[in-house]
Amino acid sequence: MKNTKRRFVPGGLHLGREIIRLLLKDIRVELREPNTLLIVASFALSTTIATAIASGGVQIGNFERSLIYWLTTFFSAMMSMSHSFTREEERGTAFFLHLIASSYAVFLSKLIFNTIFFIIIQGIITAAFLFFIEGLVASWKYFLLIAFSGGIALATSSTILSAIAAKSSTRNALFPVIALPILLPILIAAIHATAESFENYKMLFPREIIFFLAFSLALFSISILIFPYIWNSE
Amino acid sequence: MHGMTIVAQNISKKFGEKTIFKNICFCASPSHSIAITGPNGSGKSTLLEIIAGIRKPSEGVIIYQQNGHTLPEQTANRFFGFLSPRLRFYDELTAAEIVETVAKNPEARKRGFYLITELGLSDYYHMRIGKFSTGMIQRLKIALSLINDPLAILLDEPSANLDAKGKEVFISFLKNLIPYKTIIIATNEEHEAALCTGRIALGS
Repeated sequence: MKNTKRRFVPGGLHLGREIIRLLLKDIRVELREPNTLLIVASFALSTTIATAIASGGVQIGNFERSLIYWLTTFFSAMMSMSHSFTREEERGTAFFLHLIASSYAVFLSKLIFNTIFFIIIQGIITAAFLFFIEGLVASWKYFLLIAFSGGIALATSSTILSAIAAKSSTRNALFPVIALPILLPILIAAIHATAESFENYKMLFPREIIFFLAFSLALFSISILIFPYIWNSE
Repeated sequence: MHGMTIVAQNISKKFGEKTIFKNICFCASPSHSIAITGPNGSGKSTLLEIIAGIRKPSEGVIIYQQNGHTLPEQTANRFFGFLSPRLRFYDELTAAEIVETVAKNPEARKRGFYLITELGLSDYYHMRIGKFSTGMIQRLKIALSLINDPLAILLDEPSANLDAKGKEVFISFLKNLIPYKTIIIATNEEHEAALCTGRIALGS
């Protein structure tokens, strides 16, 4: 075997390369067996269609529409995000990740993957919602901004919660239990802000967007600090 | 110098109240490879995982050194190649994709293909892992443990599930690597243990 000369690689570059390799791996695995994506897309479609049929052509109030939108989003997050770490533990591939990458690379790659994945899911939910549920959107700009920033907050929180739940023997039951109290403030704020974007043509910049981004940043900082301990716990 | 020195000082491991092993001390280097032997349940795999930094010892410390400098514990695992029965791959990915995931640079990818070819898997390079036999997976694990030209190679039951030809290729790899790399093997195969200059017998 040929021995190659070792080159100095800065730590940040090393981390960046690890993240890219893991991210590519996750994308390939998801594309080969897109079960999660299909299940969540089916859930989003069936929920919105069922709501549209149940309302029988009667226009639903703005608050109720917002409630339906965010509950669909919330349960889609519960179904899809919980898999990010629990699947690695259940398949026994977490050990593989331990061997090939640092804990920071594992967490950041999962966070990036979850965020991209959830933006796609939310795109599907939003399209289905707007198509099937009758009603106006007064402020498109803020509706989309609230949906996007709220989605990022859900993805960030779900990633670290999934890592915590994955270490438990009752991981599938534990995830929704620990997720609900943490995601509830996001959910409540998102429902109110979205309802306003549906009805208010002269809506001012909603403070909820700042809240979602600050929440994501705070949770990201805490996650970076605690994840190595969670990941390396036996 | 292509190896690292691994110094274990009074390593003990307990699971609950049960002591698996106690006060293990050794120094492994390119000139001093080590075989860990012992009956099932004696803690061979656990000791290897402690050396690799995957598990924490209940007592004691492991020190990693290269050219007289101590390597930080959290980065030491970058310098290991580890073959373990606990290692599982993604059934959806091909061997080539697993190699790409593990290889840290383009040279490592080339080395990966070379090792895969030497181990007789080149025809299956683009086949999904889910279709591999256990022997083929073991060959892939051997290739992956060497792919990044690691300073230290930790091998846990390396010839398990290999046929006669596979064992022959593996032993020839090992003989070539032993003078240059720091090698620690957990095994009960006498011919593998005999290649090492030192031995730790657990459970005795």
